[in-house]
Amino acid sequence: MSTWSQLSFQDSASPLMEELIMFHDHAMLVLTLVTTLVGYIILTMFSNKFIDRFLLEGHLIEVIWTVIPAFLLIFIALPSLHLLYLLDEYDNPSLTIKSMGHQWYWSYEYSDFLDIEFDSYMIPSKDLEDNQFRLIEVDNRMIVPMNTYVRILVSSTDVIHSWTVPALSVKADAIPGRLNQLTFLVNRPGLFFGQCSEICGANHSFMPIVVESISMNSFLNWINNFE
Amino acid sequence: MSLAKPQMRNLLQAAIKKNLAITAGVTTAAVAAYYFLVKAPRKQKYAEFYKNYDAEAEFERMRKLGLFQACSKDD
Repeated sequence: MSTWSQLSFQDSASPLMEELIMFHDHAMLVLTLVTTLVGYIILTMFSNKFIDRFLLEGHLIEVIWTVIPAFLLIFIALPSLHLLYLLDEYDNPSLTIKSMGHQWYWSYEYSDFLDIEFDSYMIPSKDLEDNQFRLIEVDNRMIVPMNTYVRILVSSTDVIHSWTVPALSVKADAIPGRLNQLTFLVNRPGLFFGQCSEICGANHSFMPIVVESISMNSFLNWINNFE
Repeated sequence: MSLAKPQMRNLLQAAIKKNLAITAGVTTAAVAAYYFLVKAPRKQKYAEFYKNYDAEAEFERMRKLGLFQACSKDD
């Protein structure tokens, strides 16, 4: 989860999110270069007393300041496209969960083996325990096994919502009458939080998502003992 | 006593060469600072975290703290 004044990404819980964070650092390198360059040029403009009343054209400078940005853009684009295609790779998920958006809660269906369905409502602030976080805790979390490819099919029963967990680099709109597919792998145990990301009415800010990543054995026990 | 003749031509070219050299230095320093202070340490931290990471042991530690709904903290 994010803490107050956090400007950066959350720590990753998935290999793809790790790659996205590294790519962001790569893009920031280029942005630092361009910002420093342009900033310095602006500063020199302030102290520059050169005047050319007959300035018309400068072919060489035009070529230079077209070719250099083209190279910089290619430098950004190559790892970006590599990552883009990596994100779309499909690796036969072992588990499929349906996540349905409602006004204003999520419901999860595990129909691979037994028919497991439950709703996931935000815990109101007045009902929080001492160790719980305001506005992002839910009564029934979405349980997934760690180090396992999981597929989430996201849809909605009413208006458009959006299901997301930033630490896992996944987000998909929940659109009524449509199934959107997300796949991810959680590589460490723990709790990962998200919030509805498409305006859906009065309680849009109060329908969070919590993913609980546990060992495969515990997950199978939970499935077998679910009532 | 006469003054040295000041530069009369190619003032812009001279200024551009000087500024190009300064720009090259400043941008290299800025990019190197970002790389060595932010990018490389972050990559190193992730590598170190996952080098000897035991997910099952971490899971057990968290379970015993009672963090999970799906499994109880008692053995």
